[in-house]
Amino acid sequence: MPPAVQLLAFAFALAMAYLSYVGFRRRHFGLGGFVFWEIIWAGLVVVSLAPGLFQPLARTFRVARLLDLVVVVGMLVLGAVTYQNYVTVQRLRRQVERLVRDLALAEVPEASKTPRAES
Amino acid sequence: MPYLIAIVIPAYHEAPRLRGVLTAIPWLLPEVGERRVIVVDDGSTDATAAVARQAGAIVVRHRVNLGAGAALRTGTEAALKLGADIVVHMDADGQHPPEDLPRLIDTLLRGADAVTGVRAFHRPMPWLFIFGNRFLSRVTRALFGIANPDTQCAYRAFWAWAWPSICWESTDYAFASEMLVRAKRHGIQWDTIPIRTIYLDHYKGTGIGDGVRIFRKLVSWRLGA
Ligand SMILES: Nc1nc2c(ncn2[C@@H]2O[C@H](COP(=O)(O)OP(=O)(O)OP(=O)(O)O)[C@@H](O)[C@H]2O)c(=O)[nH]1
Ligand SMILES: [Mg+2]
Repeated sequence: MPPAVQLLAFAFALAMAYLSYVGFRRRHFGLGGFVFWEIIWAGLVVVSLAPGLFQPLARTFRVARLLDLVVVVGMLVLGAVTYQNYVTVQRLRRQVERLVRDLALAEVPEASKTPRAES
Repeated sequence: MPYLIAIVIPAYHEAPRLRGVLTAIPWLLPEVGERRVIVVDDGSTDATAAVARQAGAIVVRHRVNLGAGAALRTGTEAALKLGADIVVHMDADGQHPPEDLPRLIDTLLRGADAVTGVRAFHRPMPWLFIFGNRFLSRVTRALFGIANPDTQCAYRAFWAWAWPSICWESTDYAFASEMLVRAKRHGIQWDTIPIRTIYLDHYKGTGIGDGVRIFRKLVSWRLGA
């Protein structure tokens, strides 16, 4: 019987792999994003089922246990995702602002090019 | 030469106060031939737009709320589209005394490129705002050599030709600082005049978070971002 963390990681990876598939089907992201995330989750599945496989890897990275490595890599992934979110949100903000402003200004009549009559 | 003046008023849920503000704007202004009032309804869900229209203002409407900086930018662009020579910014919540408007215009006519009001940093202003406004103005002076003692005051007037040297990106309250920084870099002569200080609301708009964000932006502009 594998330890609880392993089961947890396995279940989590399966759930995320499924969610990524759904996200891809709903076109929330493209094929590239789908492959990227599925590789991540597949990797997690392998690690959770056969942690021994990666023990030498853990040693070369000078981390005591494999799960520590997973945590460290997880932090890196989180950082990357946060960055990606930030970029996307900034872009959306700009686009919304532009759209809302253009809609507002479209109703304002342009001043005639001829100089105004002096009163 | 009589000028076309556009008074731009950003308004977010200001239905209760807006009518009073609009009716108090003086008709007689120095050297002004024509006066347009533009209210930017920044995605309000109350009667702000209706009140403005009823009072005879031109209403420009943001479909969703973008923030005070964005609202004033849209309003200013609308003013230029209407052919304004002079643009005035005035808040919708009654904090900017309409009787000071002729003196703002007068300062432009005397040779300033732009002018803002300076509020008194005592009694009616809550102590937290006194501290915040002082602090931001001092930081602005230290970082950019801008001598304006009240950088956050949003009661201002400028010549339309100066717009390209002033135009800001900030959609939040930081726009007031941003325009001063940009103007300074373009050599715009920005004067100040004292105005009456009015505080009506129990804190509504700005807070400590805004002050911190403005400070952060000031530092990043100094660093060249
Ligand atoms: N709070 C807020 N005001 C907005 C917004 N868009 C436009 N405004 C208008 O911008 C003007 C200034 O807003 P205030 O929140 O009063 O800002 P302030 O006067 O600098 O700060 P206070 O001292 O808290 O009143 C008002 O006329 C608002 O109606 C927005 O998204 N939020
Ligand atoms: Mg106010």
